[in-house]
Amino acid sequence: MSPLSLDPRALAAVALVYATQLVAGWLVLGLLRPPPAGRRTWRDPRRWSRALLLGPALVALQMLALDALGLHFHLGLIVLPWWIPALLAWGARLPRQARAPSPIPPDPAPPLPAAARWLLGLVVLLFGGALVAGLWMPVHTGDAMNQFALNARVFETHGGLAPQALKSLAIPGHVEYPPLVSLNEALLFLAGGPARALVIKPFFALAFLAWMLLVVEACFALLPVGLATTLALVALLAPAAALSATEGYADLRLAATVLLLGLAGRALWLRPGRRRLLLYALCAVACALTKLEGVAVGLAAAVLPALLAARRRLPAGEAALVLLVMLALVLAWPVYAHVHALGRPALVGAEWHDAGIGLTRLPGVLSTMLLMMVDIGIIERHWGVFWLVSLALALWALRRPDRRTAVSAALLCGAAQFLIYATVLSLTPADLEWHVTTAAPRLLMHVAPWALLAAAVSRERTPLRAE
Amino acid sequence: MLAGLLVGVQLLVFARTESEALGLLWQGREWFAGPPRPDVAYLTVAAARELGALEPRMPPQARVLVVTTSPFVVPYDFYLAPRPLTVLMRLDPALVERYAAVSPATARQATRWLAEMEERGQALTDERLREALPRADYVLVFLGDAAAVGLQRAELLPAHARLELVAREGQSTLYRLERS
Repeated sequence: MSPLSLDPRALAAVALVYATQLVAGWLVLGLLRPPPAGRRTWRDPRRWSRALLLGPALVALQMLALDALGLHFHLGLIVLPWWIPALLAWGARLPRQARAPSPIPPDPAPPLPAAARWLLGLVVLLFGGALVAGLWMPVHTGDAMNQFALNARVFETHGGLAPQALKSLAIPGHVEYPPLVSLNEALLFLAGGPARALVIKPFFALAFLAWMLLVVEACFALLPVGLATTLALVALLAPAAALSATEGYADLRLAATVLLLGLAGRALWLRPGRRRLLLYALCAVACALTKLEGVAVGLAAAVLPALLAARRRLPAGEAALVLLVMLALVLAWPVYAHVHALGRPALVGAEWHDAGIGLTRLPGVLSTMLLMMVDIGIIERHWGVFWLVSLALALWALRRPDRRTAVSAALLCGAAQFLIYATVLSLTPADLEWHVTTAAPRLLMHVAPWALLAAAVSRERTPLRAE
Repeated sequence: MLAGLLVGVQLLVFARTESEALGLLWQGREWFAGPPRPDVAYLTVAAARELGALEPRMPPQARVLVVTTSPFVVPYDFYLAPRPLTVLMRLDPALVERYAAVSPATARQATRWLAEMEERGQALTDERLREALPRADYVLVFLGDAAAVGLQRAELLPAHARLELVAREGQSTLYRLERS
C-alpha cells in the first residue's frame, strides 16, 4: 500500500482518535474550568486551544497508567474511558434542557472585538493550509521520525512502552524522548494501519491551531485592540511556527504549551485557587511530557505555586500535595528512562565538551542565535519582525514602574531559557555548525511564548502583586 | 503607520518563506508518488517507498538482514517492525564526497554516524556478513544511490549465499535465504 493512501475505515478510526484527544481535554476542562451556566462552550476559542493541548497530554498519561498496570494498548481501552463519561454528561444535559428550558437566559461570552474575529478567520485559514500541506508528505526522516514516530512504532508493535525493544532497535532513535507525541502517534498507528507516517501529520497542524488561538487570546485579553492586532498578526505570520506545523516536530506543541502555562500562571498569580492550581500543574506536566526541554520548564514551574504558598495566598497543604503530584509526573519519564537506561549513546569520538571549551564556543552560539532573532528576514527567515516587535514593546514598558514586574518576570523566564539553550549547544558533541543551524531555530520557538507574553503584559496597569 | 509597515514586512517574509516551503512539500509529494530521482535527498523517500512496498512480502516473524550503502539514518525498524532486524552498512568514500558537495555539514554528520555504526558493530564486513546470514530468513538490500558511484548489488553479498529473489522495488531487493 502506498504511504500516501488511506482506506475509509482507517480514516474513520483516525478521526475517532483525534476526536478522543479533544474530548479528553474538554472533559477535564469541564472540571477545572467549568463554564458559566448556559454558555455555549464550543464557541469559545479558549476552550479549543486548551483542549487541543491538554487532551493529548491526558491521553498520554492514560497510556502510561495502562502500561504501569500491565495492560496492553488497545484502541477501545484507550478511547472508551473518555467517550463514556462525555456521552453520559451530554446525554444528561439534553433531556434536562428539553424538559425545562432554563428560566435564566444563557450567559453570553464577552464579545470579541471585530479585529479579533477577523484574526480568528485568518487562524482558520492558516490552519487549513497547514493541514493540507502537511498531508502532502508523510513523516519519513529527521527528528520527526527518530524522536517520535520510531518510538511510537515500538509502542504500537508491543502494545506498551517496551523499554527492551526501544533499546534494541537496529538503528537507534532518540528513545529517551518524553512520550506525549509518541504515545498519541502510537494510538493513531493502532487506528490508521499502514498509512502510519501520514495519519500523524494533522497532530502537528492541530498544535499550530492551538498556538494561534492562544496568541490571539493573549494579545486581545491584555492589549488595546490596535496593538493587539499588530502583535497578533506579527506572531501569527512568524514563519517558524507555520513551518513547524507541517514538519512533525514537537517544538510548536511545546511552545504552545509553554504559552498556556504562562497564561495559566498569570491567572493563578492574580487569583489563586484550587482549580487554577490544578490547571497550571497540568500544563507543567504537559510540557514535561512533550520534550526534554519541557522537563526543565515543568520543574521550573514549581516555583510559582511554592511562592504563592509561602505568601499564604494558597493553602500550604493543598499546594504541597499538588506540587508533589505535579513533580512526580514531570519526573516520571526521566526517571523511567534512567531506570531502563534509555538513551542514545554519545557520538563516537566526540563526548560532550567540557566547560572551558564550551565557554569559548558560547559567544559564537549566542551571536548565531541572536542573528536568527534580530534578522528581519534578509538572511534568516524564521521569525521576521516577531522578536523585534515583541521585545521592543516589552523593553519600552520597563520604563514604567507599574508595568515593570509583569514584563520583567516574563523576560526573565525567556532569558533564562535562551541562555540555557545556548550553553547546552556550546557543549554539544555533534558538529557545532550543523547542530546550531538545525536546532536553534526550533529552540527559539520555546522561548517565543515568553517574548509574546512580555509584550502582551506591557500595557497591563495592574502590577503583579498579592491581592 | 509603523504598525502597518511592520505587519507588511512580516507578511512579505511569511509569503516568501512559505512559498518556498510549500514548493518543497509539493516536491516531496511528487517524489513519493512519482518516478525515482537521482538526488541524495531522495534516499529517505526511497526508503519509505521501497521498504514499505516490500514489507508485506515477509512474514511478521521473519528474521531480516538489511544490507545497505546508505550512510543516512534510515528507520528500518519503523518500516519492517515487528521483525527482528540486523542492519549492516557499508561506507563508500565516493558517496560521502558526493554528499559533501551538496551539504558539507550533512556529510560530516553522516561520517560521524557511520563511525557510530562501526562502533556498534554494524559496518559491513565479510566476516560480519558470514555471521549474520545464517541467522536471517530474508536479506533486504537497500542500495540507495550507490549505483551513482559504481557500486553494484552483487558486490555487497557473497557469491556463495543461496538467495532466492522475492521482489525488487526501485533500488531495493528482497531475497529469501534458501536452506539446504
